[in-house]
Amino acid sequence: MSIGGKIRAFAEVASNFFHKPASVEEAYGFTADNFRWLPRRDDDLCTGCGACYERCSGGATNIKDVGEYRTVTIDSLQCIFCGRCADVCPEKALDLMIAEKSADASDPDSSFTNMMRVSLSHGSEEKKPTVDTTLKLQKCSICGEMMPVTEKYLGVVKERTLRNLKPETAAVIEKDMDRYLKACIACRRKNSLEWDTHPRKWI
Amino acid sequence: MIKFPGSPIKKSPWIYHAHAGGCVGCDIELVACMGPRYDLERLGVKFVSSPRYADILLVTGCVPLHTKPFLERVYQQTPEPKRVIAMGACGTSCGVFIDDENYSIAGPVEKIIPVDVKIPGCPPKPEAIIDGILKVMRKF
Repeated sequence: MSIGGKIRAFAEVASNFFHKPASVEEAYGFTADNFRWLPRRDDDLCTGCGACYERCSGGATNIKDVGEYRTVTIDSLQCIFCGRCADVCPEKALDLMIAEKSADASDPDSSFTNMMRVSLSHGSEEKKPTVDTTLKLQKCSICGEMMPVTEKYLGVVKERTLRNLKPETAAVIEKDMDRYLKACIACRRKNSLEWDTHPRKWI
Repeated sequence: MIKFPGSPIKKSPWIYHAHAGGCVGCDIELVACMGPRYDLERLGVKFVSSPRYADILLVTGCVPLHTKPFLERVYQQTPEPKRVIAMGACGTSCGVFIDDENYSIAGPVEKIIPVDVKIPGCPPKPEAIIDGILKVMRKF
């Protein structure tokens, strides 16, 4: 090694005394800004439409209709944190805790680090974290059978449809809409001629 | 066999990484754990090349049928006291391979050997892996 090289090497060694080590100080201290973690669902916004269930790439999201209620679940062990459910959710009810981790990552008691400790790795005897939302299913107003749609979702559908129409059109449609939405498919078919919803009427 | 009271391994667990039919995504993250950014060796963790030296067995991947006997053998070769970590979405719950009609999967690691800590993610971040290893050290 030449003398110039030695001097350069010595200068680098000397400068390293004033540098911080490259490694992360604590295991929880550093996370990337776009770090995705277990989806969290806002129960007030979720309508139980099932868009996340159709889009889930890991098969972690499940929908169970039991009795009068529908439960939307996410299996935390099967979730691969891809974020597709949050992308596709029409109500923006899902988020992947991206905001929280950047809040105060250095504080060990902040909600994100707590969440990491609780649910990132857990023993088999501990309870696994789940994200559950329970919603009420719509009962058919004619035959009384449970429909595979939630009450909340139908409310949102009605509101959105009316919003996009002209006010005078909306006023006409609004009366029939409740009757139509709250009937199951079999009852809609049966009463289609009576309700003027049969395609034959419109040809 | 003599049993020592208290926890025998507190500071420097030796880990054997058993690859049981994964996509190597988890294994790449393990390599990232050993780099300068998330230096696992500063915590005393060392990866060994034989299960006979190991304290912790770290299994990645959904276990295919043809890997099952090898995984059982590796578990028997690991000396007591030993702990097992199942890593990744595949290791914890078979991930995308979870299907009752799947003919080639022997189920998640939990079905074959007892698991102490699970690290979910596809693949888990190095922070998650470090967290999991620290958790299993507390379980000794």
